[in-house]
Order: sequence, then structure tokens, then C-alpha cells
Amino acid sequence: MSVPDAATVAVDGLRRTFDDVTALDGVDLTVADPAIVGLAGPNGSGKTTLIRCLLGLLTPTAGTVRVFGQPATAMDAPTRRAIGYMPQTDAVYTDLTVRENVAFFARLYGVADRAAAVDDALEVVGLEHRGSDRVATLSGGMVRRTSLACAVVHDPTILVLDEPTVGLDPALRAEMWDRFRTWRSAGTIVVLSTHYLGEAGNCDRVVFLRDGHVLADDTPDAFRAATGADDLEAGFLALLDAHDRGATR
Amino acid sequence: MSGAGAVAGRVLRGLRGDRRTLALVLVVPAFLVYLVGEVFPRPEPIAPILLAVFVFFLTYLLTSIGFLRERTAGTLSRVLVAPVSRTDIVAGYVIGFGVLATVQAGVLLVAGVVFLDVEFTHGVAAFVLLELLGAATALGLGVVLSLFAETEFQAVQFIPLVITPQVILGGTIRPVEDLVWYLEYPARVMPITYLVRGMEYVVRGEGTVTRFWTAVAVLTAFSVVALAAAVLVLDRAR
Repeated sequence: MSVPDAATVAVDGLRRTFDDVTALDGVDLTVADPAIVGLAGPNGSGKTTLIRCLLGLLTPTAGTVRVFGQPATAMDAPTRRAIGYMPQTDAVYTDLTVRENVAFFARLYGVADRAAAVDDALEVVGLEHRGSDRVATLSGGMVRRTSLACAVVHDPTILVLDEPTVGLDPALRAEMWDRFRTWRSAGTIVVLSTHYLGEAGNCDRVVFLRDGHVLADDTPDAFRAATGADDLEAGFLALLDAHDRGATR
Repeated sequence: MSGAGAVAGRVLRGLRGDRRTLALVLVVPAFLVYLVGEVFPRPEPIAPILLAVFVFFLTYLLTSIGFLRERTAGTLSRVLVAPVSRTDIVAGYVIGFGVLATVQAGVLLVAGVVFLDVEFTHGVAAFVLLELLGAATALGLGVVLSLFAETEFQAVQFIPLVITPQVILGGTIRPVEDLVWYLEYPARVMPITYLVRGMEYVVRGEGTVTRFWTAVAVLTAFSVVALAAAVLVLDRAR
């Protein structure tokens, strides 16, 4: 996976509301180099809304979201082709086989050698022997892996994963993180959300969200050093505490 | 249009793996036509109505629930992120369900001939054309209305609201022209009215050729509007 020079995700002053609810407010985020960028925070903090704005699935109420310099809501086909997306829900067709699901997305993305790309994607997620099984017959972990194969079959430059490890057992979660690191090392920007705050320590950079605001944006080591906490979960709680005390003063 | 081909292929592959839906689409209409043929001593007068309503109803049912599933399962978001235009996505649905509607029309054709002694006075091609126009309208309607449902149960709840009044008012029980004015005007903007009118001409030779082509023109307009609305509302479906 190679990154073009213009590979950049740029979010500037993003605000998104749903009727009276403000899901995101004043969010800034720039990603220029291959990295695993974690969007961390409790449920309802705005992670999925930020991801959907990045993908152009939601229009910002205010501010801008640009991918490769293009507004996310008006990306051209080559830019879209550079993005892989794995939603929070399973988002695969249960009445199709594993292979048919991956082949469908390969075709949507215009992959040239479809059969080889599907084989590669299935091998990467360890489902090469389950390709002809219908998704409805698979375990939850295998369905998530099918979903991941659909997201990477076209060899994307930016991989956007919404809660990719939710519902997985610890061994499978560790396996997933190994894959994310491999892709990052190969030049991919991996943007993922997680509400497992401890897990965010696997990222190169963590953006902590709370109530639609960016509470902090730094490397896991810097967080630990700044808060004096051993793990990121404790560090995040310390951040929240400091933030709340500052707000009440 | 490769995106449309991919979506159409996906729709048809999904049906292949769903035997219950296949039976609903292919076997149940033939069985119901058989029952009507057994119960009515002279089934010919109601044959155009049955043939008009079945494909419309089943296409509406399958697309509204299918599209709702796409939306709630997250696959629609995924497809919308891909480099595929909204028009391609709806075109894929039209091709997929168009194939299905054609097969269904074939089943109804045979069932109509065997169980109802239908003669298709003005030819089989006009019959298939009407079925496809009805299916295209039902597809657009199904996609649009599925946006207002959050569960499959809610999607089914639209049937008594959207389909049943059309069946009652659309010339099935008494001619639209004989309805009281406040029912006649709504009936004149309902697709099933024109489907029934067209079928009466094709199946039993009732009405004039002008009346038939008017029905075809109106159904074509309904199809175009319904499918254009489906493309427009895809943005809301995200």
C-alpha cells in the first residue's frame, strides 16, 4: 500500500449537530503520514459521527473535512477508491458466501484482478478456507473478519475502521492489531475508533473525544507521561478529572 | 455502469441463497392464481387485476424490506463510500429486480393460461412491458418509503396504507370513472389504476389502444419519478 504525496486527512473546526444535539464541536484533526490514529472516548463521544464525516456520509454543520484536498462530501472516484471502510455493524450480506461478499466489494472498487485480490484479502484475515461458507453460518469473529476483508480487498491508502475489535475475544483482538500495524508499516493511514480506552495504547496517536470535543491529541507515551498513569484508561480518567476541575473553576 | 452490474449481481445472488423468498416470488403467486381458478366459476374478469397487482405488490415488499436491511445492516453506508454513483446503485436494483419481475411475469403468464384460461388478447410482450413498468414504480416507491421505517415490521405496516387503497380504488371493484369525485381524483394518481387499465386491454381486449398507450405513458412517468426520487433520497439514507 503506497501513499501519494497528497495523502492527507484534514479536519478543521468541524461541527455537526442532529436537531438539538451537538455531536461534534470544533474538532480539528490532521493526518499526513502513515500511522494508526485512534479515536478514543466513551460511547456517545462523537467517534462514529467523526468517522462518517471523514467518509462524506455526513455533511458538516460547520467547518471542513478534506481528504486528499477534496471536500469529503464531494470526493471523486479515484479518491473514494483510496479509502477502505469497515462500519461498526457487521455490514456484510448474510445471504452471500464470504467470497461473494468480498468479490462484490472488489467489483464495486473496480479491482482489476478480482480473483487474486479476493484470495489475498481472505488470506490476510485468515478465512481462506471458509470462502464458500454463507456468512449467516459463521461465528461473530469470522463475520468481523469478513467485514475487514471487504474493507481491504482493493488495497486502500486510508483505512477507516469503526470499532473494529468490538465483540472479539482477546486473541482475535491481538491478531487484528498485528494486522493494523502491518498495514501501517506498509504505508497505510489507519484511522480507527475504539471505546476500549486501554486498547488505544496500541495506536501511534490517540485523539480522545468527549461530548463532541477533542480533549487531547497525542501519542500514548506522551499521555502516560503527562498524566503519570500506567495505562491509557487511567490516563484518560485523569484527563477527564483535570478537565472537569478546570471547567468548574 | 459496472457498479450497477455489481449491485444487480448481488441482489440476484442474495435471492438465490434465500429459498423462502424465491418460493414467495415464484411459487406463491402461481398457487394463489390456481386457488382463484378453483373458486371462481368465471375467473377471467378478475384475471387482469391479479396479474396487475402481484408483481407490483411483491416488488414493493422485497425492495422496501431489502433496502431497509441494507440501511440498518450498514452495507448501504459501505456501498455509498465506494466509487459508485447513486444512479448506479438504483440502476443495479432495477436490473436485479427487473430480472426477478420478468421471471415472475413468466410464472404468472403460465399460471394465467393454465388456471384462469387467460388468452392475452393483445400479446405477451405488452403484458411483460406492463409488469416491468409496474415493478419499476413499486421499486422506487419501496426504496423511498423504506426510509420512513426503522424495522421490517414498520416497512410492512406501509402496505395497508400504500398498496391496499390502490387495490380498492384502482378500478378493481368498480370503474374509476364511477367513483365519487374525492375518490376518483386520488385514484387517477395511483399506479395500480393504470396497471389494471393496461392489463384489461392486454388480457381481455377491453378499452381502446389509445387508453392502453395512455396507461403505458402514465406508468412510464410513474417509474421515472419513483426511481428519480429513490436516487435523491439515497443521500438521506446514509
